[in-house]
Amino acid sequence: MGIRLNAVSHVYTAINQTPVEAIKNVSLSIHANDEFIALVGETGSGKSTLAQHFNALMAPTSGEAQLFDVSITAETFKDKKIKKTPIRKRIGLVFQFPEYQLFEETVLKDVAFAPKNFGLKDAEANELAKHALELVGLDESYYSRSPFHLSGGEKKRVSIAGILAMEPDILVLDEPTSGLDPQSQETLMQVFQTIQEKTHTSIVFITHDMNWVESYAKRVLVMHQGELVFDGTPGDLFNHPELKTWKMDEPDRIKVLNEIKTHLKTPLKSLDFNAVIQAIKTEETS
Amino acid sequence: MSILTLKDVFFSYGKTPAIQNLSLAVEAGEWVTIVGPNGSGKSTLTKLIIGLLAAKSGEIRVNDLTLSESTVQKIREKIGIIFQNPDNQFVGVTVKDDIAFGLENLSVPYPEMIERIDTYAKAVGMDEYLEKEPSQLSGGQKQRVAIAGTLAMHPDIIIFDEATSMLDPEGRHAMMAIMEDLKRQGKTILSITHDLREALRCDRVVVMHEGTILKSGEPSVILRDEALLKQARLTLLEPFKYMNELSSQKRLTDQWEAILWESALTL
Ligand SMILES: Nc1ncnc2c1ncn2[C@@H]1O[C@H](COP(=O)(O)OP(=O)(O)OP(=O)(O)O)[C@@H](O)[C@H]1O
Ligand SMILES: Nc1ncnc2c1ncn2[C@@H]1O[C@H](COP(=O)(O)OP(=O)(O)O)[C@@H](O)[C@H]1O
Ligand SMILES: [Mg+2]
Ligand SMILES: [Mg+2]
Repeated sequence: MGIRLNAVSHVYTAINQTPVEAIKNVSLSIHANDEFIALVGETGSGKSTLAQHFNALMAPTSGEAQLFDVSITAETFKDKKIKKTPIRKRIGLVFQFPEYQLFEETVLKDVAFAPKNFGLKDAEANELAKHALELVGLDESYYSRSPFHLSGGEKKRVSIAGILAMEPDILVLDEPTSGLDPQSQETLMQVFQTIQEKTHTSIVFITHDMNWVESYAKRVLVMHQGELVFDGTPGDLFNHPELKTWKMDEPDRIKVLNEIKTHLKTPLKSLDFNAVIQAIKTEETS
Repeated sequence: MSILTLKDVFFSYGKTPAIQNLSLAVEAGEWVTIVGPNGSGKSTLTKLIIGLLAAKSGEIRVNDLTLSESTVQKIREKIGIIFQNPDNQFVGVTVKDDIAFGLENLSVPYPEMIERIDTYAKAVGMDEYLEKEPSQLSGGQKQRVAIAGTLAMHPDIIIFDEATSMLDPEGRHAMMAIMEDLKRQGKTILSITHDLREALRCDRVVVMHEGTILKSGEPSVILRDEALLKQARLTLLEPFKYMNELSSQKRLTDQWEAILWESALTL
């Protein structure tokens, strides 16, 4: 088992603020291999908070996060003897906002930082970094540029490359496609899929786009007001009576098919694109 | 009459130009969606319009004012902008202060200020968060607050730079409704997005590529132009795949064109 949360709750407390229980009593398991999980939920439902418990960036207020062989609780989190760096190497997290992650002078240094930090020689770390940059679609012309002087989508790619270069066992991505142009979104999802298939890396990605959930996820987790309300397949989610209660939606493909169906007199035999085209044509001539 | 005119604008951060030969005229009350690949110059364009960056050559006009050091203040009063990363935008300690800050600068009287804060916080569904610190909000909540703060200032021109990229499906739909409402009020809207579903209801789609405008036109034309979309790293929306296939077989009837367009509006 890679990640196992047992009844994890997290309460944000700040001076002069009423405490916010961002996640409530969440239990779940994520295997170290072969998972492709979409984590969805309305804004503020606790997705990013949950994701930060996956690699010991946050400690549960109550409950336990078992991350490989390390148990993180409110108490053990403060224990200096329990090292968190090895966990963060095995479970890599890409933040929602790339700005939180970028800090080096150049793009190449930024991406090579983590592998160096985890003990690789400069040359090896740079090789990994260059490969990761290629995967996210940034060529050599970006190597010596400042990560702060890039467009939004370019920053996002650098922050993703930084984690890919670590080659973690589990890859957690907080809204990896937001800010990328549609073709880059598709390419990147394919990159994640290839990594998953080749190296058996488990992948968890947060998204608001149900199209990616439908075409890539094998499993979906739905957060709603801090609670984990669904853990199952995309197919079961899109047919779930409470889909709309959770403020979620069907993917475009299903919405359009539903609309087409209401205008066809005979029921569709197949939902395959060409079959649907054929059905529309038949109806027109009859 | 054009409310915003750009003529042969050129800008570069370093050697490679980020904006080149760009000309665009936006009519008052027009809703323009700007799309294009990462790094194609969309955010740079918005920064040039509000005078955060100065064009190397060319001219930018808002109404009858030509953008320059002496007019930039006046021009900014007419334009509201929501930046790509909302973190760069917050000044107040609480959400309420943050929305109030812009209004104080405009010397809006106190009772009206309270009313506007209330109205726009409700419009974006953040009325329960007025006492929170902006830094402690989730990504999508930050975007909503930034939107409320801008709308409350009642600008004539509103620029959204990927303001919906972190919103959930319901939030995205709510934003579309807000934009339609702004359009009815006669506001001019420039909306940058990577999500073509947000371009369906606008008046004109402008496709950017390598710092200039590749093409612009009505959504019903641009959104179906597969070759153009491909060049601009965009992908055809689901209903238009059916539309184009039927059309290529010369079997697209007016009725099915209408049905498929309607289905696009549900996305
Ligand atoms: N502060 C900066 N310094 C130097 N170059 C920059 C800076 N900001 C952007 N650029 C470069 O200018 C070009 C245009 O960037 P811009 O931010 O306008 O793109 P964009 O179309 O908004 O992209 P995105 O969809 O990724 O937000 C890119 O090549 C980018 O790398
Ligand atoms: N640093 C923080 N301090 C206080 N409250 C926070 C903080 N970060 C998030 N929250 C609150 O916790 C809840 C969950 O936030 P988050 O996990 O970021 O949601 P999501 O990623 O699903 O949009 C929200 O109500 C948000 O306002
Ligand atoms: Mg989040
Ligand atoms: Mg941008």
